[in-house]
Amino acid sequence: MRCEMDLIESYVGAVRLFLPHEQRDDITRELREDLRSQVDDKEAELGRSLTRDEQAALLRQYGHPMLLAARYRRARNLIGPVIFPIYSQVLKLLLGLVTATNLASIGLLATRGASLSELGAAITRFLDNGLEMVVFITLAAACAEWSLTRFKLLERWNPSSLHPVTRPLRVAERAVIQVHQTDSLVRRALDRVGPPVQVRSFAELVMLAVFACWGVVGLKFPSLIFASAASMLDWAPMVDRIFPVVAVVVIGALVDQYLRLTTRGAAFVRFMRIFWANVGWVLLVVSLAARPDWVVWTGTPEQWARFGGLIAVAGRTWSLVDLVNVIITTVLVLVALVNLVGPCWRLRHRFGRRNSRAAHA
Amino acid sequence: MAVLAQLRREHYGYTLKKELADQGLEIDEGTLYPLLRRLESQGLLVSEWREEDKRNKRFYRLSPAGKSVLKELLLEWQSINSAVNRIVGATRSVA
Repeated sequence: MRCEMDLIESYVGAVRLFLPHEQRDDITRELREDLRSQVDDKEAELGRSLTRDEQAALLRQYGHPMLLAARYRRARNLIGPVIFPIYSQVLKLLLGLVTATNLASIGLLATRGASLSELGAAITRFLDNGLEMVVFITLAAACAEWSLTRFKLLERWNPSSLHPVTRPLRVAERAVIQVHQTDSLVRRALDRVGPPVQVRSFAELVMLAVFACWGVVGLKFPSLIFASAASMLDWAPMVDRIFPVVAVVVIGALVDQYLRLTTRGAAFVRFMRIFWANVGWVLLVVSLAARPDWVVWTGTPEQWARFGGLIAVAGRTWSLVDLVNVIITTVLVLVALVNLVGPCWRLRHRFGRRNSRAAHA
Repeated sequence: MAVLAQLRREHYGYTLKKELADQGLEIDEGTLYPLLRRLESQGLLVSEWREEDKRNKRFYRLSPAGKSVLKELLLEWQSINSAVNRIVGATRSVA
């Protein structure tokens, strides 16, 4: 009998460990009393004490102590079923990116005869980057989960804010159709000014926000962007100077996307139109400003001799830093041009349709 | 709903489980006790510790709020039940 009661006490003690603190005493007291009532009933029925095995069988019906205790708690998830698919998608995507950039840079080190310790350091940095990324994305997803639950964002949705389903490549086409539907061409064209890519769901917004944060944080922590090459490259002082502007612009753009998605904050969206209408010019001027240095060399002379020296690309020899600077400038100029050409292309189509309609008439 | 209905009369956990089982509804203890706590925290049950057979037991019974919720649940249950019966009946007559 003594050892049987001990089994019940062990069980109650084990459940107690995992119970919510404020209910611990009350729940264990009730559990103990009910277990004893059951044992008494069975013993009266059998006319003898229960064996240890019979006692264990009775406890088995209650389930594992952790499982039983968990049922007394309210379900709480760090990352719930709504956020999880986006979380895992973003995680795979960014880990893929980190892996690709790091492997490329380890490959570069290896082909340039780096020592084993240098390769080891690069691999360690790769693992560090991966781990940082996982922590960063998990925190972001947990914040998203918390805000969805806290502010009941999904319960407060408005079906009329849903966007029509379009094929991704025909977004410009949709803009053209919308321009066509209006009488005042110029005014309507300006009304349509907005971010080049507009998110159409919270999932896309979260992905965009994670990417944007990665980029902005990367301007302060070069290793996020340059991976193992961060021991040789750093952002130029100019990048440090424009950092506050970049951060404000990125936050503004994200807020704009959020407001467009929820069809709220019309005043802010109107204000951001001025920004979107001019961002192309600003980007063009900044990226072509007298010899823009985005990245500077901070490596040792040995590293310069090994990696920083001349690389032959497109029939010319470049230093690594020059090559990176030219790539960044080219990408920015291309983005600026797309931004400037987009509205003009829409206007051209508008006139094209009008002319063809006139011809038919 | 079955638990609420059974608690129109006062019970403690173990006898409640036995009575439900006698009427054909087996609920294991690991589910029943946390359920009782949740119903109580929602204000549908009230409970008190009392001595019976030289043993302290926690007795549960339906609260006034629980009574009105049970009434609504029973109505909802009857309408679902008759709808399912109609559907199953229609399917049977087709088969």
